Amino acid sequence: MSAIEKNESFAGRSGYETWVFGILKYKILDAMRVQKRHGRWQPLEDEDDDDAIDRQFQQNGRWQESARPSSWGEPEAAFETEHFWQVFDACMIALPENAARVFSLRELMGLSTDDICRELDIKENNCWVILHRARLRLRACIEKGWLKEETA
Amino acid sequence: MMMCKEATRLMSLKQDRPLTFQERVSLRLHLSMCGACRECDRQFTLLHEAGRRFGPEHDSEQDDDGH
Repeated sequence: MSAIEKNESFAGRSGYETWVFGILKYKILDAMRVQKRHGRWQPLEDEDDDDAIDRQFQQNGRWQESARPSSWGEPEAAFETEHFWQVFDACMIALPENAARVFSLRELMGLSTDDICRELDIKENNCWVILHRARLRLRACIEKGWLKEETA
Repeated sequence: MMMCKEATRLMSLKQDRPLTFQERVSLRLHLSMCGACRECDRQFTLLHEAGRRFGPEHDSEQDDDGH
């Protein structure tokens, strides 16, 4: 996405963060409004991301050896790293559309799941399922892209 | 006994609403025995914190179970 390409010319970490999220926020809101207006918002559509989740777990519900979460260190230290935010951003973009949308409304914009459900006209339970999947996807993606490189 | 996959569901849920007593107890019990899930729990919390950093308009909604 353009946010990553332009990053080089953008100095200042907190500026970068604010800028990326500013863009995301408005893109998401715009897209949502447009889709709602045209009745194209389909929150119940399964985006086939069960596989991606299931791959992190064994049949018996335990973590797959390859997917076992490892320590990301202190959150503050991670937040200080520009690389973390680049990976975070890239992983957000890699999320399925609905997952990215609901996750953004919840975590970036701070809406309650109750508000999100009302806004998107979905059941709250559905919202929680989407968020659970989104978080599992994000954590796997970030761990792959960020931690592995940091410790390499 | 709750398995890791189900535990992650509760870890995710607690970022969105307060867990019930029952849920909290099962999650605590699982976390006390599972290092990988403890990391996952920290990661979910970190993702939550990461998001908050960008939203000055975030209201101080319910927090988790005193994590």
